[in-house]
Amino acid sequence: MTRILSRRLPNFRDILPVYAIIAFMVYGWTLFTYLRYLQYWLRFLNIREILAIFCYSMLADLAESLFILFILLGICLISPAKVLKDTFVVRGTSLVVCTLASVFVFLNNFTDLNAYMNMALPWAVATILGAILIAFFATRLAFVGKAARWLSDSMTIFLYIFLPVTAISLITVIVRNIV
Amino acid sequence: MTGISRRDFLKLTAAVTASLGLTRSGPAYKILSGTDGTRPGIIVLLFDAMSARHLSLYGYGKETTPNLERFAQHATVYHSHYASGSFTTPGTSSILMGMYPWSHRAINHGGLIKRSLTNQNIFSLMGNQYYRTAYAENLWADLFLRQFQSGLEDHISPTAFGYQNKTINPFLGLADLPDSDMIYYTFNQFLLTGDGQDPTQWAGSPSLGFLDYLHVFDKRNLDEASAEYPYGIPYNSFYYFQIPQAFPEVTDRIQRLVRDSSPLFGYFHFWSPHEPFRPRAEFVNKFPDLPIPDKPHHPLATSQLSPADYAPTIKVYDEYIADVDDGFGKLLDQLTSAGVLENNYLVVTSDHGQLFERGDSGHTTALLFDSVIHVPLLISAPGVQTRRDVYSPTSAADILPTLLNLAGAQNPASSEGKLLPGFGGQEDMSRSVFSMDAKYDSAFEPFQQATISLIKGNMKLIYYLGYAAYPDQIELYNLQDDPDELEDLRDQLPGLAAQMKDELLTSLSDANKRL
Repeated sequence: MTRILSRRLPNFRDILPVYAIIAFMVYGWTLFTYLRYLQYWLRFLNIREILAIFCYSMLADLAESLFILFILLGICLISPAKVLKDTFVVRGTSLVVCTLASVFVFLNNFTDLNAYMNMALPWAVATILGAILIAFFATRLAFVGKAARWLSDSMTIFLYIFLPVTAISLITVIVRNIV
Repeated sequence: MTGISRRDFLKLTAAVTASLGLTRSGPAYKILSGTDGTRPGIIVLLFDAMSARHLSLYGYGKETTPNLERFAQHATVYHSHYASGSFTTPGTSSILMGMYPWSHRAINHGGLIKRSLTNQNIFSLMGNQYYRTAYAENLWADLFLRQFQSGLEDHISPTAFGYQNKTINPFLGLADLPDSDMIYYTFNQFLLTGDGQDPTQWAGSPSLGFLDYLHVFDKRNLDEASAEYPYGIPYNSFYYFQIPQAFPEVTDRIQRLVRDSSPLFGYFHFWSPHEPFRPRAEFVNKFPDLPIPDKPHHPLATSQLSPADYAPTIKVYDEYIADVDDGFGKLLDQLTSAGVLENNYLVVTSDHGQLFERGDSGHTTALLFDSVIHVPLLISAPGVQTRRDVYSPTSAADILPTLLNLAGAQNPASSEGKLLPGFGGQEDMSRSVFSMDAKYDSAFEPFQQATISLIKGNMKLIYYLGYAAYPDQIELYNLQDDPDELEDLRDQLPGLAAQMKDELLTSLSDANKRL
């Protein structure tokens, strides 16, 4: 089993930069949105409560970023190596950037669930098709591949911030739910 | 001379007895109270956003509430009962805390009660002699129950009664987690797409936010017209529900609690008839339209709606109230036949009303006209078969001290309410009742921008504090002569207006000092 997994999954050095770009986008969006909400929460929540929301959000971001990574790894498991595993950094990064960027645009523009729910499904289909197309060409266009590698490598630095903050958040959440 | 027959004598006796019961000054009946060693059960039913101005019980032209009227025949009916705020947060918290919003400070959309006061809530004060249970379909009200968890034996999950989730929030039904109020804020008001919050409805989590849209899209058939629900199935911000299913389930739960856990203190907060108004087919087109008074546009109105714009919304609101009343009637029948009302008080009220006038619509409004703050209050007492009508002004803040008195519990010094007439209090037309809206202010600082109304007898003063478009204005109305609040008397009665404004500002200043 372990041998099959190691044969079908990318190695850790390839997974890490892709996870870094996922974490950067997920955590980054949350932090950006958090700042927008801050002035609203300050009206009626105290600092401890606002920080508690931050801690829960960091844990949710960890779960969300790992979930997205596992989807990519799942694709590696079930598809031939040349589809994603062999070009994991370039295609993985392209898929993640395109998909999450598209979601950001959607959430930024359509802020009413009931009014825009009809947009969600076509948007999701278009996003997935577009991301697959871009990921396919990413390995054929040298500058795109180079940009994807540079981007994912550069984002690794943020893991040194996000992961310790998430660990502290986990401790805080445990304490709040025990005490 | 014709002699009086035995039958006539009995009729006369009954009429005299009933008229004594209706007398304003005398006690209508002996109160079954905790002070004499017994502990009556108390059940509170709250129907969200039910304006007294749209209930036939209070003289509305459409027969929207035949079942409330039936209940009223054995209850004390309060005709001038006022919510303390114009939306759920201040309205509900004033009921549960016995204070005005300027004291408990739950004034914002989805706000919380001042942390140092949370142990002054009605559940904690009722004491553990009672089995205390609470349920709120409205999640802003459920936030308070999360704050009061230590005073509750049973905090019923808002999703307990067979609903279909509209959101993908995995924590929606988990109201008993120790930190559940912060979990609520994190998911419902931040990571997911939000529940109508300001300043933004951006989802803090891209995946959860987007999946929420897909989930809502997947449930879109519930929003579509069907033979039973021409406007779609009712929902609150987070889940769909159907009155014919939900109300009987709540009734069963009440019956079981009364049987197994007496004495019971139960608080049941229904979302209906809150918008979206979605009556069942049998209530659609039930009533002929009534003329809608053309009221002047208000400087603080958020839109330019006219009576013609209001007509379809008012129509469906009234129909939805009739639907809710039907559900209440079945609930009442079941509780009555099970004997629940023989040893339990039943309180029926609302947290706020609904406004369709002067260019504004809804209830998170700065306009505190009567339709948004005048709410129903009826209380039936065990063993009492007569109706009593109370016309003096009463406040949502009065419910806490009154119920504590019935339970034989101590009324805290922090309470700003008074005992309700008929339940230990006396009718007092000179009594002052306040309502307020300050949703954009800080909960931690004195009001900067707020609307506050003061009702005293038949007179009502509305004071607008700090609005750039309507700075420090007052309006004065005579509610008896001018129930539609069309004639502003501030220039005709400047002395009274100044006197009431002084009283209001003094009370506000006192409240600010307690901050």
